[in-house]
Amino acid sequence: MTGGFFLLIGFLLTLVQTSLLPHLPFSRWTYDLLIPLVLYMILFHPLRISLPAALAAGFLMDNLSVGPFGVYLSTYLWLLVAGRWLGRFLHTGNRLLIPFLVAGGVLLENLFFFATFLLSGRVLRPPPDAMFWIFEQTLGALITGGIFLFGFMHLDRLWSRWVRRLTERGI
Amino acid sequence: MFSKKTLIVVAVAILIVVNVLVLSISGNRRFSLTGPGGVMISIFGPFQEIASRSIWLIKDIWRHYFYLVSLARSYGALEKDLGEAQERNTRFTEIERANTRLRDLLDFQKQRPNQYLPAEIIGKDPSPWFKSVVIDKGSAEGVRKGLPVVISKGIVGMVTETWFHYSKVLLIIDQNSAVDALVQQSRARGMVRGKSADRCRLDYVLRKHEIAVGDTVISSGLDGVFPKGLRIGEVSEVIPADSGIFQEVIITPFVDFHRMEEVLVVIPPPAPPEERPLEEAGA
Repeated sequence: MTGGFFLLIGFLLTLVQTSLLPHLPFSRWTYDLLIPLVLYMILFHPLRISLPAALAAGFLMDNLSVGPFGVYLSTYLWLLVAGRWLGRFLHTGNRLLIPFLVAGGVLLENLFFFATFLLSGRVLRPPPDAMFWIFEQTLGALITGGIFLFGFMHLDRLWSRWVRRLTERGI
Repeated sequence: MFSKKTLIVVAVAILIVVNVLVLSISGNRRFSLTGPGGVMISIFGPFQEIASRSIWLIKDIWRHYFYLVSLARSYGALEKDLGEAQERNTRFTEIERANTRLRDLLDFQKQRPNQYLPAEIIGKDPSPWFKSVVIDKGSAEGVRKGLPVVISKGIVGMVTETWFHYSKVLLIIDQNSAVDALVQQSRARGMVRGKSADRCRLDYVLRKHEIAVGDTVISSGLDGVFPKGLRIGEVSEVIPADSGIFQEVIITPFVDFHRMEEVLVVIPPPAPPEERPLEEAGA
């Protein structure tokens, strides 16, 4: 149930970032909105929900992008590995830490893009202003990443309450 | 035999190796792999279509709202009549704009021997590393990988992937796009590549050629993708090199990639039927 609910949110976020955000003037500051969602799933849900979520998100994004297949899948899977590893040392629910985790996710994704460009030899070339907008995106993630994660937390709570109420009524 | 820690380290190392292999293979394939992705885009495409149309509608409503409010303030007594008239007027303006745009496309189609399939842009690449769009025409409408995509102002890009009703178009402003081109005035040849969000580079232009700011760059037709003579952009900067055999030329494309709503996919004419022998034709 929860997996399906977040799948729908992921679907809507992807729709927003491919069809709506490009029309807005601040679109260059926006980063991959599925990063906070995948991070939320990793940090606050068990592996049986977060792993399919990461795989589904990666697969969808890889298919919508003209870039080499697997970059988004790799990013989300490594986010999963890193998130679960960090969870052993840090209190990942800490409100101060969360924006840095999202910014870290954005940096990791861009690192994967860089790695793919390097691994492709000279087939793919990185844009010359890449460093500049990586900085912009990371800054954007630092400022707004927390808002997204707390938003998901709130939605999750509302959803759980609604499901519990339905279960109590026997629906 | 092995501790849990060792197993985790080995698993991570294997994951890294597999990841490097997958990325290097798909990176060298140039564009994303097809397959089950077709199903994904077929599910996602209609939603993108609805979202894109809604945003254009909202944009129009937003623009018209301010327009109408300013008119209503200026003409107090005639507010009602004028409001209605202006509302009609804005609707007609929209229709007229669409009409002009479509007529431009039609005129453009008449000038060229190829077939042109109009398509609407329904989505943009989620990654800032690549510049591509998704259009609402696919293999069912005759779109194939490698077909050029244009508008009346100039070249837009090339189809890199197709599904049943959708296609992905790599824009010429992408770093990985390449169009064989000519400077119309000096006939200097070069390769147009994406540079940044709004500009392109004309690579491999020999220093001996005189290129001036404002010169028009057109497709040469030698790349086998874009027909000869399609407009690409105008030279906005020439940086003469002190050494080497090439000079650096910066181009501003004629197409405004941020405001583009419809495009035309260039479909080459079908190959002429093989000529029948004379006796068979006479029979």
